[in-house]
Amino acid sequence: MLKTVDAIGSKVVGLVRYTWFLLAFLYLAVKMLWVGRHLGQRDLFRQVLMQVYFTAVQAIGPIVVLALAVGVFAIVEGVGGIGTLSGADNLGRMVTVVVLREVAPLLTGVVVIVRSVTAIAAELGSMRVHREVEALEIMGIAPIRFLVTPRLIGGLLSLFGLTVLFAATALLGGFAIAQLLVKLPANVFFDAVLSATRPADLGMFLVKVGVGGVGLVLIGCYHGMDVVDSPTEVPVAVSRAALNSLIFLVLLNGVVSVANLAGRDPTSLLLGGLP
Amino acid sequence: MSLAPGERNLPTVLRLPTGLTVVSGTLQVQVPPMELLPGEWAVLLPPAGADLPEPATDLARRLGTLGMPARGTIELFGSPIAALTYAELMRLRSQVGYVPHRGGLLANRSIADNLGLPLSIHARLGSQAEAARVAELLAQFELSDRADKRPHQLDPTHYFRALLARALTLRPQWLVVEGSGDFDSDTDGDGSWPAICAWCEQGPAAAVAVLARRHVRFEAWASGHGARLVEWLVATNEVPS
Repeated sequence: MLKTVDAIGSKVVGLVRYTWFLLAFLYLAVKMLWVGRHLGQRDLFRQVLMQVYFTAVQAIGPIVVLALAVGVFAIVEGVGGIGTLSGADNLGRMVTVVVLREVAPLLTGVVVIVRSVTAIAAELGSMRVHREVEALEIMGIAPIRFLVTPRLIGGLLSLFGLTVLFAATALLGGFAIAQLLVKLPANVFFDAVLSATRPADLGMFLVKVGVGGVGLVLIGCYHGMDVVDSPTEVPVAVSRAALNSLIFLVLLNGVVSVANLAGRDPTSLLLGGLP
Repeated sequence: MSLAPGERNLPTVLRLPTGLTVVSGTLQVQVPPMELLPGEWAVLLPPAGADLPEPATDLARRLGTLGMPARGTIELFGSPIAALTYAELMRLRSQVGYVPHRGGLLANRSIADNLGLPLSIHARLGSQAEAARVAELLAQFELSDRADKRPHQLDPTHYFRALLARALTLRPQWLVVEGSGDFDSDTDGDGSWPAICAWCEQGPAAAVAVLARRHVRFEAWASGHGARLVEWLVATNEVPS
């Protein structure tokens, strides 16, 4: 019994410490923007652009394919199920909930984890092993400002852009493809989607994308910079970064969605269909 | 290369008033008290017969302001580095050139970009002046035909030259070089060590080379070119129980 309590306590302490380190790392990354303001900004800007290119531009293909698939699935299922039972309002609501609020931030985050968080952890870990981070320090270049801050800014911009692209593609492309399978008047569908979109949905979208964008890249950077000097540490850092960022993403999406439900009257949830 | 007595009122570049102790794994590296004035350079050597790459690296890192020694004070340009704030230390480091024994060039940038990086961060000269300085360094170290190559495409000799060129980009006043002590493989007859020597002679700079093992031919060459040879001592690190 005591062993179990010990094990749970140890996990909790480890989680608190890990969260604390991540927050401290984030604080340093933001602080470095101010501390290093007298240093050249051109390279910072260039690094942000490179990160946006690697994370967002190169991921457009996979995001479009996934978004089209989700859009078609949501619309066809909506028309075939809820739509016929409850009318266009609930179809629009379902599509809004599924695509805009839940699936777009989640799937886009997964794509960013698979493509970029792992790559960031591997790149920074490899830089630590090859003493490139140390070389930056000795040149008077704060590694966090040079390596982490631009990746955080680039990651945030990328996740925002990709999620908007995902949502737009899922709605527009999904609707276009769904037309081949079921006849649905465009004005009915888009009126339903627009009227079903509430300010709270947009707020949730922004929180998930903003916190998610910074959090995912932060975890990747943290594990990459945590490598000390052995090449064998790099794959460990990559797998930890991928797993922890996936857990963070799912928890974030779950917590924000539950928080959105928490303030609402349960009877309205039951009678009003989808939240 | 030692300065004439009249020139000795120049500020000291490096001063180790009480010597230095650096812990490296299970060993302690001890350096005797020393100081270097502008125009001087020294070679720190391990005891004869020893091959100690990690202690040499740890010692060089401390002298290059990366990390603090276990005992002793390192003064650069008159200031103890332990007393500096992080921002002051980063500013000081723009006057320090450091040549690691392995790695160090950014793998995702070309050689020209590696050389231009310190300029774009610290000097902010403008694109044309930066390009001119990079071209000057590439020519000086015979790297012009490799300017667009990535670090992994260089052989060890050119890699070492590129590291040295980058260390000199901002015209540092304190230069720290890690060397294996193998005179032939470090220079391959290409004049990298003479470049370090020349840098000290022409500028208000001092340099130290920290070697992992002794090499008779290099010691003879270095002392013939004005280097002060200083042997560091090694002791077992006694961890208090």
